[in-house]
Amino acid sequence: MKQIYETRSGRGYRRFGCVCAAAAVSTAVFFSGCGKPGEQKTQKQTQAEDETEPTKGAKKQAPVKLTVWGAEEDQELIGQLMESFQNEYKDEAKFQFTYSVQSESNCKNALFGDLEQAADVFAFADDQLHALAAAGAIDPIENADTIRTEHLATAVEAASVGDTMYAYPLTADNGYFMYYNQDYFTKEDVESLERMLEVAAEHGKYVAMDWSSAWYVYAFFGNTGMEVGLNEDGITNYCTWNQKKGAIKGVDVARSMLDIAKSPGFSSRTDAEFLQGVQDGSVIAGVSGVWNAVAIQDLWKEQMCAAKLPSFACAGQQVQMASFSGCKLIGVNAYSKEKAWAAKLAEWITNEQNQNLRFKLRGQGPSNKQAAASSQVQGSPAIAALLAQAEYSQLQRVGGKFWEPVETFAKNMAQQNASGEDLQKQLDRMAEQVTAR
Amino acid sequence: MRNSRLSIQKRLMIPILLLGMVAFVSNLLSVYHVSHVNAKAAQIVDDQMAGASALAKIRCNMLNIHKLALSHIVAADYNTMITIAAQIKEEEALLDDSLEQFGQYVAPEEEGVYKELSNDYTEFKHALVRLVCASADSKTQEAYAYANEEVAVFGSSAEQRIVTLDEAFTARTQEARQELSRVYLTSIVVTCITIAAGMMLVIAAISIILKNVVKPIKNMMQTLQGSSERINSVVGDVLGKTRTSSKSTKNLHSLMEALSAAIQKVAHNASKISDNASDVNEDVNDMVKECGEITSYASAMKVRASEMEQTALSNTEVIEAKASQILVELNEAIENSKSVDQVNTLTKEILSISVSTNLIALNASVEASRAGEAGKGFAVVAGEVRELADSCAKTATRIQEVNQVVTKAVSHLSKNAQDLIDYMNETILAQFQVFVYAGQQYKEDASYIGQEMEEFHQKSQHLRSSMEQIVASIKKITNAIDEGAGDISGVAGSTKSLVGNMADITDRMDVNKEIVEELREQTEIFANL
Repeated sequence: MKQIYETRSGRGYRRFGCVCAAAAVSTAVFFSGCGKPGEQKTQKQTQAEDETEPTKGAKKQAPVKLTVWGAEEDQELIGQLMESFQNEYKDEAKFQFTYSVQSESNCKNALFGDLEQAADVFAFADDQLHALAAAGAIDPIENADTIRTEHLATAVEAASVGDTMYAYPLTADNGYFMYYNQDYFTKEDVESLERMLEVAAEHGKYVAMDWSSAWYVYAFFGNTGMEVGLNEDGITNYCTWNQKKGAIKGVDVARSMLDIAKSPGFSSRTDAEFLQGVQDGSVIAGVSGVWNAVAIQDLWKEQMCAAKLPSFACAGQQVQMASFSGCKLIGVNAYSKEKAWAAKLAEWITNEQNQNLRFKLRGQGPSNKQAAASSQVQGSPAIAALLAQAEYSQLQRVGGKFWEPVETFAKNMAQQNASGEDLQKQLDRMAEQVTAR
Repeated sequence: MRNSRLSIQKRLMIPILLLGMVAFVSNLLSVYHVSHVNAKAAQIVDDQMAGASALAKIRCNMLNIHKLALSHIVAADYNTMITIAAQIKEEEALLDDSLEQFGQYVAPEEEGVYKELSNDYTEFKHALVRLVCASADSKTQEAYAYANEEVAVFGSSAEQRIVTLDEAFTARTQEARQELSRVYLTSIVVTCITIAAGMMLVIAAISIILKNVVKPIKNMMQTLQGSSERINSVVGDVLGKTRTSSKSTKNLHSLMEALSAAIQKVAHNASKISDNASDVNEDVNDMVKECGEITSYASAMKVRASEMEQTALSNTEVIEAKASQILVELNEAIENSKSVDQVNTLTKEILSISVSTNLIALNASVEASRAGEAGKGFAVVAGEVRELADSCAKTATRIQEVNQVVTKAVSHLSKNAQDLIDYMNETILAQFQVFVYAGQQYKEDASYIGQEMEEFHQKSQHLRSSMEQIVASIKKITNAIDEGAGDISGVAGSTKSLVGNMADITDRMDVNKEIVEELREQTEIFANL
């Protein structure tokens, strides 16, 4: 679980490449029919005999070897999915599955490390889709029309470049909102960040948010009228976060952040540190996503509540905090030796039945329309909070130059402008670096 | 005779058989050499040329892939990168095919180089994947490093293998061409020998045919040609005469057709005249009927004119009587109105009385004042009487004014009444006199028209009987002409049939002449032997 938390708090899924690569060593191999778990610990693929459509009566042939990359927390779930997949196609082939832990947020870097030897099937965050398609790492999926009708429109959009679908939607929950402990907060309290900070300070506790991640820092700028996004080239950004005119200026947001940072009830901490705080009781509210729902529920029990992000005071008015949203996708390696079987497995992992199972085991919001409409999903506080925040969220579409400058700026804000540099200058530099080619 | 014909057959067959044998042998040799040349050429085309072509494709594909990889690095947006990545994969697929195809043409001694080329290409593809990944990940420097190092190294190495293989193929092609030239020269020599043998045999065959076949046939043909010319002369004479007869018959037929057409035209015109006469007859009938109706109407018109005249007369008399009566009554009324003048007389009398009364009242007042206190009451009465007298005088004066107005009105009324009576006598009665005169004139005109229409009616009845006789006569003439036209058409048909028969005879004679001509031409072929 920690792996995922850390990636969320990283710089748009990029920062934790090394950590994840190290985690990938913890590889599990699943054999169906002819193998035993843990029998093999290598990720290397062996040459498959047949790359074309799987044929009937393949029992006599060599086992189909498929490597799957996914989150550490998905290990148990993927194990069950592989088993059910083998049962589904037992008359057609024997499979030898290899599961390797690979952060979804860092998947692109891992793939680009050695694409031809990488996993056949992998989970990744939707912001990596363009780069993967541009590298030819994923090809347009063949049954796109069917997939398009089965999944939510936002998830389909996230899995597409233009009108072409390149991946299978897995979740539609990649966003953040506010978790809080209702022992301390009322529903009215969580409508304003300042009020929440007051309550936390009164109790000597903290409200947590990760300002070392530009992904979360977007929350302060998103609904101020200032803009950031991807240019038409799909690579470079536009950014007006340093604007000097208008009802809310860039400096106004920076000052608000400084005010928040100064509050004794505020703590900027990573996802992992946030959970640690929940565990030790020092944190009574925090900004995070559905991936922490199960863990927080375990700690706060019935006192766990979730809500859309609060508003914050800025330039004499209350501004609703924004959020980035996104989806997780399953991709099929274009260089897979068993591409047809890999595509079947990807479809299997993302079908309605298995997205229901994913919600049950992981609390993750399904992208499948039928699964998303189920009463269990609709009744989840985390999903409800995510839906409430959806109105103020934007699909994460920013280029690689976005993360680092924003993180540098936000870290300095978290440290109450330790550098002492003029705020406008800091904002100008950040905007310049974000929009650089 | 039988021995002679068999002898000619044999004489003809021997040289032909000899020539046939030479041609057969010559063709067999040609086929052998052509197949040999073809085999060598096919080897060059199939192996060397096709192999060289596949090699050129490989070289071209690798070059394209390299260019696309560089385009991927410089691409400014993801969509372009996606397109280029797909193009690279397509080019790689083509290159895979070309490489596999090329494998068929590789000689055993070149297997090693071919394997090295395949290995270089495999490494080249791996390097490309790394390059494209770095490029898509915006790691441009890294991508350029791959392009300049791994991709360039394996690309150059593959290029070197291709050059080596190309040289080997060129050398083999050269050898095959030399072999092809040798085969070509051999076949030329053999063909020349065959041609020489064939020429000798042809000369011998010509000599035999001239001596044993051509000369006897020529004699026979001269005899046949003489007979044919005589038949041709006879047929020509008959044909000339037949053509003359045919021409005359055609002229006759033309005349008959012209006559038939003229008669039919006459019949048509007669029929038209008959139709027109019938129409005229009907018009005459209508005219007679209309005359009768007009005559009746003229009689009725005369009666109505008499009635109108009587009505006008009686109206004139009534108006005259009425006008006289009104005049008498009016004069009487005017006379009566003059009594108004008496009112003036009476009024004057009242005025006179009032003056008198006034004087009396004045006197009474004087007397009353003299009477003193006793006369005061009387003085009051005298004052009242004087006022009464003044009042009477004013009223009488007013009556006089009114009377003047009334008198003036009566005088005006009398004048207008007189104007009305004058108008009736002078204008209205004169108009009625005009009506009476018009009625009389109308009656006279109606009588005249009735008389004239009666005469016209009688004449039109006479015209109708004449027209009926004319129509009957024209119908008889039309029938006679129709019958004549039918007879003439029958004669024209017979003449036409005669013309056809004459033409047929002429055609057949022409055929006879052509047959004779063909016979002559056929015999001439042999005569020229």
